[in-house]
Amino acid sequence: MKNLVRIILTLVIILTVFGAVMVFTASSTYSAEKFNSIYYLFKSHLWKVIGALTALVIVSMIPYEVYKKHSKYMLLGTILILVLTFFFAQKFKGASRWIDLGLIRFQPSELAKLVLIIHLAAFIERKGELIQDYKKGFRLALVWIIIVCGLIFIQPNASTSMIIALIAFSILFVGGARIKHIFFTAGTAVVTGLGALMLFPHSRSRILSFFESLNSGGESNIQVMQAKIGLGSGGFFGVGIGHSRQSDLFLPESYGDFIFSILGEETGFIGTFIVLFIYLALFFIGLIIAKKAPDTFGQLLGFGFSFNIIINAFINAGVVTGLLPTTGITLPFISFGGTSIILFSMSIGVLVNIAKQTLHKQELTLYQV
Amino acid sequence: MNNKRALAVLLLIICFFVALIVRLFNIQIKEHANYKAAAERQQNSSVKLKAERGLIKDRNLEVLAYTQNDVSIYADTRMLSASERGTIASKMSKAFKKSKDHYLNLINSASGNICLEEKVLMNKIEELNKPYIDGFFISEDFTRKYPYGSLASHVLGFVSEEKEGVAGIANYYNDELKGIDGIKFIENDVIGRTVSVNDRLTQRPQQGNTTILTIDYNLQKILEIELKSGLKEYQGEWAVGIIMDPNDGEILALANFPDYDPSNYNLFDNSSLRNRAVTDTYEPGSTIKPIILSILFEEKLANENEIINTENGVYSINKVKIRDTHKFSSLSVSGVLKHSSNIGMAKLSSRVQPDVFFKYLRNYGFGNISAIDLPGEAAGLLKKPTHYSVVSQPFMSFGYEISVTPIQLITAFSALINGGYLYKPHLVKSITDPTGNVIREFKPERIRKVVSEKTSDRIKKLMLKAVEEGTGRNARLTNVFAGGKTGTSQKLVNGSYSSENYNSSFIGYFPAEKPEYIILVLISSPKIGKYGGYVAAPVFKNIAQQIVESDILIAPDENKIKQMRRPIDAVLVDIKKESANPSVFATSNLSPESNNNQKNNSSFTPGIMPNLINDSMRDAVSKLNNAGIEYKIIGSGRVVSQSIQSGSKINKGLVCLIKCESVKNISNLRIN
Repeated sequence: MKNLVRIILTLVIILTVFGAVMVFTASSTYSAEKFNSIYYLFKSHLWKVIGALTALVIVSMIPYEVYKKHSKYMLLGTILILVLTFFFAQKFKGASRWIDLGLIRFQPSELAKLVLIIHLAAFIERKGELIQDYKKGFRLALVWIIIVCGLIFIQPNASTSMIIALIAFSILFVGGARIKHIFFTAGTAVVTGLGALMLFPHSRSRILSFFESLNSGGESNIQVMQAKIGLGSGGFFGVGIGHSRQSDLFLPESYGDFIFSILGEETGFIGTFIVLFIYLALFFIGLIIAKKAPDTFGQLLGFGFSFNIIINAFINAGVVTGLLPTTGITLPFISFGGTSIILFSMSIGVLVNIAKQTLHKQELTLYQV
Repeated sequence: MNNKRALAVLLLIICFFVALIVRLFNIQIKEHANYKAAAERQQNSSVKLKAERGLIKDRNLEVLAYTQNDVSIYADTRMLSASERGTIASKMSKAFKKSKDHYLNLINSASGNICLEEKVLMNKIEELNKPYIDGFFISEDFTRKYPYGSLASHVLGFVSEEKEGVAGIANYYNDELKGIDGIKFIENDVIGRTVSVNDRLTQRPQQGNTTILTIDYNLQKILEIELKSGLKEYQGEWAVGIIMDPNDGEILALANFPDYDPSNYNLFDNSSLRNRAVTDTYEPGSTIKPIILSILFEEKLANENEIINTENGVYSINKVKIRDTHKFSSLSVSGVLKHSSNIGMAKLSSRVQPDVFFKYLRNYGFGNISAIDLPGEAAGLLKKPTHYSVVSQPFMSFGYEISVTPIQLITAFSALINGGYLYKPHLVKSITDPTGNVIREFKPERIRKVVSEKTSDRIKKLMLKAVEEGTGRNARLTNVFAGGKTGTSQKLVNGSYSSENYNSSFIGYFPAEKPEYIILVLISSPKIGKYGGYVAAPVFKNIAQQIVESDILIAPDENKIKQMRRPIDAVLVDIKKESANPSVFATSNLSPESNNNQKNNSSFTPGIMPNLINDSMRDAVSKLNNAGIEYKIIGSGRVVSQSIQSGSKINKGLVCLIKCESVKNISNLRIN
């Protein structure tokens, strides 16, 4: 258990430090261009890294059972924030996704994701076997999922809402819900979701262009094309850290959602492989921690948070490599982006706490024996 | 937690992982080359670096043409927003001191690329402090500079917008001068701004080679000043002047008027751009007579003292009348040349077999290009003996039915006076690389021997007489002996010889015994005077006089000249007083200045134009006042030219133009 904690912390620190370097090389041209200093975005990122690591340490010391007690109220609060966001947040690229808290610009959907995971984990533990019953268990969970996803969907942020739904159904799946229920509701959700997606012009065009690109073999948009040029020109060993040419404004937002492309350009196939493998390793360790957790809440919490990290990472990589249509999803611990790195660090903090609690309880059992 | 289901999720995630890795493998390794090529396509660009054109220098390494690396500033209006236009306009107005609206209107008036400032100095760009704006750019725009303006324009030629030499040396030696363009490989960012330069692939442009001419800046200047004032004075249509070294074919100066400014060549018409010295042919008239005579001497068909019946000025061959300006009943062969008798020449020429006659003229270079290093040379016309009519050979003997270019004539004449060797005329001494190492050297090229040294000497003696005593008296120099021959030919206008349009020429050389310089002066259609001896000879004299003064290698011969001339002049004065033989000076306008030419500066006769050349302005003015002549002064310093030739009669109401130059300017001419 102790080793697992050490490994998970090491991996997270590796990703964070490597990420900071990547943010620097990917953002320097843009910073120089926009803010007259190549360090501008890098500095802002460094502050967030420090905040994230601090948050990780603090959260790892809070016993995870605390979340179970207050999960319902936390979720209600989050839903309130989402409603407020919808009405009051600044419009950004046709969507009101951000809340400006003065100090930090904050994306409530990211928080909602974590809080929903916590609440679903708590809900499933409380219902026990009842989760297999549609009317008494599954339907109630579904209500929460629909409220949260629906509010995020109408921001509009369809992709995040779909990812949250995916994570929520995965937790229900692992938590013991009936596969029949899951497939029916998920099927309905996908059909209604896709139908609703066609209502928003920006998501409609993205989806249509993605399917068009599958047919024609062309590129769905310039960003993905430039991302692939970056990855492709990296080759096996990459062009070397700091030698990216695509970050010279060829690839828009090269330091944010598309940082994986710059990573691939500078460190090559070796770099992308190792980074993806680290995510896989994080998930695997997360699963072990979850499996060994003493209670169902801890298990599902550990699974949900681990799954959240890897699904973000892989969907991001899928988008950058052109496997999936473009969504606004960050690469955990690496992308430049305010709330993302802090919330992911906090979920690692929770995982560490679960591991610590498990260890503590094992020791207690040993004493009792 | 359901472990089996968690395992299923893990398996799905591993599938996703494998899918991603396969995808990455495809992109990063399998298609690496394609993506790399695509990356390079957008990240790199190449720019042609125009090579700097080589210098043109005169024989003393005075720079006559160089290249200034100016830049032009452009705006691409398609890429500019309204605020960017404002920024550009205000930056430009600050740097170039023009109003902001000027630039704003300029930008707004265009629909694509527009040049805001053309060919500005490189250091202006620093002043501009150019902001990075897409569509606001600077491009190198070399300017060819000619420090002396139109000086030697027909020799230098000019360079087109595309930086190719179009005329003159610029064209003939274009490959040497233009250099080798370089190429610069640039890594650029998305806007096209340079991120870095790839030094490995970049090839620097190589500056063109330096061409060192045989032209002498000082002689060129003298030639141009005198030729221009001569053309103006006699109101000719155009003029050609060439100074050459008869002993090796080097052209020392070559000028045409009207001329042009090579930096603004497009403002001039074809007539100004034409280098008539090589492209235009004319019938040389009497200037060919010494050459014809050399054939007779070489073939031993005549000697100097033989008496020829010159028929009192009119003679018919097959009903075609030949006339002499100066009518004599008979003349010695030497007198035929001295008084330029056409009849005498016609009779003498009939002694030569047509094919021999043709062979010599061919050997002198007529009918063939001289192969001078200038483009567009004309070959002239030399009839073949089979095409001769009865009058062809007689007419050719005094310079009709044969057409030559000025360069051909001076080249042939050089052979005539240098001992018989025909040299290829050339304008370039050597070509060096930009650092001064000689790459090519052009040695004098002797083409063939045309006549013997003895013949050459005999002809020279006759030509000395032609200047000292004959039609070329206006060419007499005060400090050395010169030889030469006048020429006056009627121009062919619409197929018949015009009685109003003449080509007046003089070709002369000095020092007479061992010529160092040969000068050809040709003035076409002068309105004042028509005879070469009246129009062109004084121009020759003015040029030659200055050269003698500036060339320390020519020993002045003044005492000898005085000794020789005194008795002759006395005789001439006597002749004039008695009007003993009026036919000697049949043309009245030739006689008056003949004896006034050598007039002492301090004495003058009222009504006769005094010589003012080299006088101080004050002296000149007092002389003019004493003589009662109205005058106008241009410039200040010493008198360098006067519009009324000294010794001419002054008609009332005539205004004399006096051109003065400060002593400094004059002494500049004598540096060499």
